[in-house]
Amino acid sequence: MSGFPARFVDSRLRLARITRRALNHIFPDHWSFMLGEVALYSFVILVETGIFLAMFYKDSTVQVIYRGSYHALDGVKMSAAYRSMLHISFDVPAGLLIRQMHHWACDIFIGAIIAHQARIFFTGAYRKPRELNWIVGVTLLLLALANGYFGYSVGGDLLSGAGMRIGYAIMLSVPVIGPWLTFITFGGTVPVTATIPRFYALHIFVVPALISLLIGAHLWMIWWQLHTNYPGPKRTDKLIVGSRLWPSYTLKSLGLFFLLFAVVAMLGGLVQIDPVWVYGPYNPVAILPGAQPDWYLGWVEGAMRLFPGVNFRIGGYLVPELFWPGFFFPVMTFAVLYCWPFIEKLISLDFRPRNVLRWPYQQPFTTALGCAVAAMMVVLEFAGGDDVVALASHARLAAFRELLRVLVFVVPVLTGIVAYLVCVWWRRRRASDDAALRAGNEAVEELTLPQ
Amino acid sequence: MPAAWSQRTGNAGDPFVHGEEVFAQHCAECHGDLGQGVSGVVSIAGPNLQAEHDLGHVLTAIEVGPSHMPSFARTLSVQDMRDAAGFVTHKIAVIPMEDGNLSQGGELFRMYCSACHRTAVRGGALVFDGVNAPDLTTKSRALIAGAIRWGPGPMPKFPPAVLSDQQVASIADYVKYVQHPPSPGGSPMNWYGPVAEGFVAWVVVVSMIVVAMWIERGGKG
Ligand code: HEC
Ligand code: HEC
Ligand code: HEM
Repeated sequence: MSGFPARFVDSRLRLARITRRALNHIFPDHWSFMLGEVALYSFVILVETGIFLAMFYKDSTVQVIYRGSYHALDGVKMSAAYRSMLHISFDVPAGLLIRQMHHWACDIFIGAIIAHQARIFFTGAYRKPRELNWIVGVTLLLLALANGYFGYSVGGDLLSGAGMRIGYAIMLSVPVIGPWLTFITFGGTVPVTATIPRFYALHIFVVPALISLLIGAHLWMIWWQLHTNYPGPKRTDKLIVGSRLWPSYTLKSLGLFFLLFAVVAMLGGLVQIDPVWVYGPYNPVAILPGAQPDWYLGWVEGAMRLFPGVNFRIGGYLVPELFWPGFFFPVMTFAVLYCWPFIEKLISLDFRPRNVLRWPYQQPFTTALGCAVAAMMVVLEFAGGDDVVALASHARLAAFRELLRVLVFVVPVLTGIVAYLVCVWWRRRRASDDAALRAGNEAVEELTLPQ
Repeated sequence: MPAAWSQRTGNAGDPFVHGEEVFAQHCAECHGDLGQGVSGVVSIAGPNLQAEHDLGHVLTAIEVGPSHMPSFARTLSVQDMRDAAGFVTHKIAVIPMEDGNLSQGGELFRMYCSACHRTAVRGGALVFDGVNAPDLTTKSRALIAGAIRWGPGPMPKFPPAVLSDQQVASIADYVKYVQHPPSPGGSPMNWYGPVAEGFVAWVVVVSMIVVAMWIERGGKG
C-alpha cells in the first residue's frame, strides 16, 4: 500500500539513500544525552499549548468592566488582557488546564535546559569542535529566559505588573542609556499601554521563531559533527559507539516525550500555577512587595534583595544600586557563559578536537568552579524567595536576609573546595585502580565501562 | 484594676454593670478595658473586640477560648459569661458592621492590605524587624473589622476618614471569601506562589532525569 507513494516520491526526489543514512545515524547510549531532549520536548508542549491560548488571549490594555463567572471580581475595572486571562481560566473549556500546562512546561523547559547545560559543562562537551554549539546553546537559554519574562508580563495581573515594573526599573538604572533602553523596550514610562502588545508580539512570534531556528541550528550541528562519547572501550576521538536512530533511538526518545507530556498534563490538572484571579488586576497604586518572579529569574531577584543600598557616581553619572545586581550581574553571568569554552582553553592549553567526553573528576578545577557557581545560584534563589521562606519557617525576614548575605559567599567557596577535593580523591582512586589493572588483570575492558 | 468603663462614661445605673465587672476582671488584661485590643511586643495579646455584635459568637469565644485565649467554661459561671458577652456586644461593640460588597472589598484589600498580608490573605514576612503580618484564614469578620480600625503592632490604623464603615465591611467580606477561595486549578500549594512552583518544576526535572536513566537501562528496574 505505502509502496506506491513512496516510490513515486523517491523516483522524483531521490530521498531513499539520504533517509537510509539518516535512519542509521548513531546516537550514544547514555541517560545524560536525553536532557537536551527533555528541553526540546518541553518546547514542543509550550508551542502546542501556546497556540491554544493565543486563540483566546487579548493583548489589550483597554479598560473594561468584568462580568464573568468569577464573582469575587464582578464589576471590577481591569484591562482586556486580564479579563481574557480570567475568561480562559473560568469559561473556556479546558482553558485552565491548558494555561497551567503552558506555565508548567515553561518552568520545566528552563530547568531542563539548565540540567542539559550542566551535563555539557561538567563533561567538557563544549570543547573543540563544539564551541559554536555552546554559543548557540547559551543564546537559547537567554531567549528562553526572555520569553518566560514576556509571557509572565502579559497577564495583566498584579504579580505580572510588579514584574514588569521591576524589569523597567532595572533597565532604567543603566547609566546614560537607561531611559533610551526603556523607551525602546517598554514603549514609554511603565505602566504604559504600549508594553503588553509589544511583549505579546515578542512572546508569541519573534522569540519562539528565533528559538525554533536556533534549535534547528543546534541539532543540525550535532548531526553534522556527530555526538560526543563517554570514555569507554573502542571510543576514540574518531569513532562513536551507540544505537541507530531507527528503531532503537526513536522509540526511546518517543517514550521520553510521552512520559513528559503525561507529567505536564497531570501537573496542569492537579497543581495550581499562577492563579491570576487571586492576585487581582494590575493597578499602579496597589503594591505587592515581596513579589517573586518565576524561578528562572529568582537569582536576579535574590541578588537585588541581598545587594546593599549603595549609590555612587562614575564619571559624574549616578549609578543606582539596582544597576549592579539587576543588570551588571546577569550581563556578566552571560558574558562568562558565552566565553567559557575559550576561557577554559587558556587554562588547560588544550586546543585539540575532543570527541570523547571527560568525567567530571578528570578536570577538578572546572568541576569545582561549576559546583561553586551552581551553589551560589541556589543561595540566590533562596534569597529571591526569602520572604516566603521566612514566613513558612516562622523566621525573622531581616535576620534571614543578613544570614543569606554571608551564605552567598561562604556556601559557594565551601562547595567548590569540597568538589575539588572529591575530584582529586576520585582521580587518585581511579589511577591506582588502573595501575592495578595494567599490572596483569584481564578484565580491563569491562571495568572501564561507564556506570 | 483599670478604670471601669461605667465610671468613665458615667453610666452607673447600666444593666451591664455586672458584665463590665467580669470583663474588667477577666478580659481587659488582654483585650483592653474598652475592648480596644492590646498589642504586645511580640504579638497581639488580645484583639480589638469593638466589632463583636454577635452574642452567640462572643459566648462561644468565651467558652472555647480561640487561639491562645483561655477557655472560661470552668472559671466563670454561666451568668458571668452571659453578662460579659452582653457587655461586649452592647457596650464595647461600637464599630457598626454593615453589608459589604465582595469585589469592592477585593479592590480595597489590594490597595491597603495586600502589601503586608498578600492578596491570598495568608500573611507575609515584613522586612522591618518585628512581627510578620499574620495569616488571616481563621479570623472572623468582627476581628477583621476590629483590626482595621485598631491597627495592631506595626499595622497602620484605618480610621473612618480613610475607610468608611461600609468599606470595612467589604474588606471583611473579601477576606472571608479568600479564606476558602475556589481553587479550580488543583492544589494551590498554600498560595506560596512562584517559589513553590519553581520547587515543583525542579522536582519534575529531577524525576525526568531518573526516567531517562530508567529508559537507558531498557526500562528495567
Ligand atoms: C490571655 C489573653 C486573653 C484573655 C484573658 C481573653 N481573651 Fe479573648 N481573645 C484572645 C485572643 C488572642 C483572641 C484572638 C483569637 C484569634 O485570633 O482567633 C481572642 C478572641 C476573642 C474574641 C473574638 C473571637 C472571634 O473570632 O471573633 C472574643 C469575642 C473574645 N476574645 C472575648 C473575650 C472575653 C469576653 C474575655 C473575658 C471573659 C476574653 N476574651 C479573655 C485573648 C484573650
Ligand atoms: C504594614 C503592614 C500591614 C498592613 C498594611 C496591614 N496589616 Fe494587618 N497586620 C499587620 C501585622 C504586622 C499584624 C500583626 C500585629 C501583631 O501581631 O501585633 C496584623 C494583624 C492583622 C489582623 C489580625 C488581628 C487579630 O485579631 O489577630 C487582621 C485581621 C488584619 N491585620 C487585617 C488587615 C487588613 C484588613 C488590612 C487592610 C485594611 C491590614 N491588615 C493592613 C500588618 C499589616
Ligand atoms: C532550547 C534549549 C535547548 C535544546 C532544545 C537543546 C537540545 C539539545 C539536544 C536534543 C542535544 C543532543 C542530546 C544531548 O546531548 O543532550 C543537544 C546537544 C548539545 N547542546 Fe543543547 N539544547 C538546548 C540548550 C543548550 C544550552 C543552553 C547549551 C549550553 C550552553 C547547549 C549545548 C549543547 C552542546 C554543546 C551539545 C552537544 C553535546 C554533545 O554532542 O555531547 N544546549 N542539545
